[in-house]
Amino acid sequence: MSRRCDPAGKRRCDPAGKRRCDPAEKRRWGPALAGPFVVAALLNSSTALAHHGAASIYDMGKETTIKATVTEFVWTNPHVELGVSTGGGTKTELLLELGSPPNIRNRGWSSRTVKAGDVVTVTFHPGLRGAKIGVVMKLITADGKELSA
Amino acid sequence: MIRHLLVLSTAAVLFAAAACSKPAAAPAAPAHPNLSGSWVRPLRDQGVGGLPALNEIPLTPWAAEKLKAERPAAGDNQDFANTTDPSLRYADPNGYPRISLHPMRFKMIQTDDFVYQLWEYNQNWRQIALNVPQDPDPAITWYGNAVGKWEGDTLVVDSVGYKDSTWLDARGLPHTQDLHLVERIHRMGENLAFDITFEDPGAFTKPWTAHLIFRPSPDGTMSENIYTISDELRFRERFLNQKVNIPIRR
Repeated sequence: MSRRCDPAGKRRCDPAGKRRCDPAEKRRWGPALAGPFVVAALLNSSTALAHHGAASIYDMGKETTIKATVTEFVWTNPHVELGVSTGGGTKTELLLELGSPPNIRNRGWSSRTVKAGDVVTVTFHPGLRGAKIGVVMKLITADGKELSA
Repeated sequence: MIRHLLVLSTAAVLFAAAACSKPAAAPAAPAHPNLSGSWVRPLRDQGVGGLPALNEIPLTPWAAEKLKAERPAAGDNQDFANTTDPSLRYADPNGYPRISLHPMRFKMIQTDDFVYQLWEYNQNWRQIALNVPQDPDPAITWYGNAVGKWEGDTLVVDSVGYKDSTWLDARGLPHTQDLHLVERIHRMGENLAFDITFEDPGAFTKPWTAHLIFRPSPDGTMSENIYTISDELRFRERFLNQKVNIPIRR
């Protein structure tokens, strides 16, 4: 009874948009949601790797940019995995890691951002000692969308 | 009799309608400061540290030796491939207060009897029972046995019963099962402050204090970010070419 009567009993707006939400509340949440997104975009890839330090695996002083074909895109913990082939094949020749799923989701990625067969331009810190791995800094999708990782 | 019942029921309906049509009364001032909401560490603090510099922590010889032998996965002496970090090597829960040093946010929920702290990372949580005595023989757990009481605007939390296999932070700071934390949790402007005093005669020659500040984070749905030993071993197999000797999800 009191909940129905009490105007203050309105539920708070859910930023994920999964519950019914008062449009006016959505507008009020907009700037608040933009904040962490912008902040997250300012983070570099090494800070995205809360799971491990990058310096013992990758050459963080070196950046490599390649155009490649996606062979796999695995939305998993601790890091989303992106396999690519520079020769256009279907076998992973270079395995790249991104941030954790919630981390890169805040930066505009989803499990459907790229898929096997897509041709993308990816910039990454390469693995040390010639290892065929890397940590992604940014990626331009097949349709030209640029995303940081 | 029937007439009486009719009168009574009509009165009840009228009373209910009157209650509904009344403007809502102003809510009473909360008895304690509001700690509820989502909180996250400021970006500038989101490195490996968070606790004081290691040379400022009064380590016992045992703790100094143990720390020296550890191989953290991040920071100055990182060795991810051969790390001894239990939260990676075994995918153990981070324990407390390390979990609060993780860059992901946590949510505070206050009730009359408990304060709950829900960490987004690995969906870990702890409960702080209010106004009850500390258990003299607590169960040994990842997140300890915490009791709290309000002292003015500060929630004072006493906790013991911590499993000694956890690190206090990602640098490998050790502790024993005798770890005793006293936390003073309070609002600092829009932020939330935790002043934590660490007592552990096996690991520290005297008590020392850390000050952790959290800023408000937009509330709402918490994301799922559960990390398992299979996740870790898969990563190690794929990225580090490490052999995995147990069945894992590939």
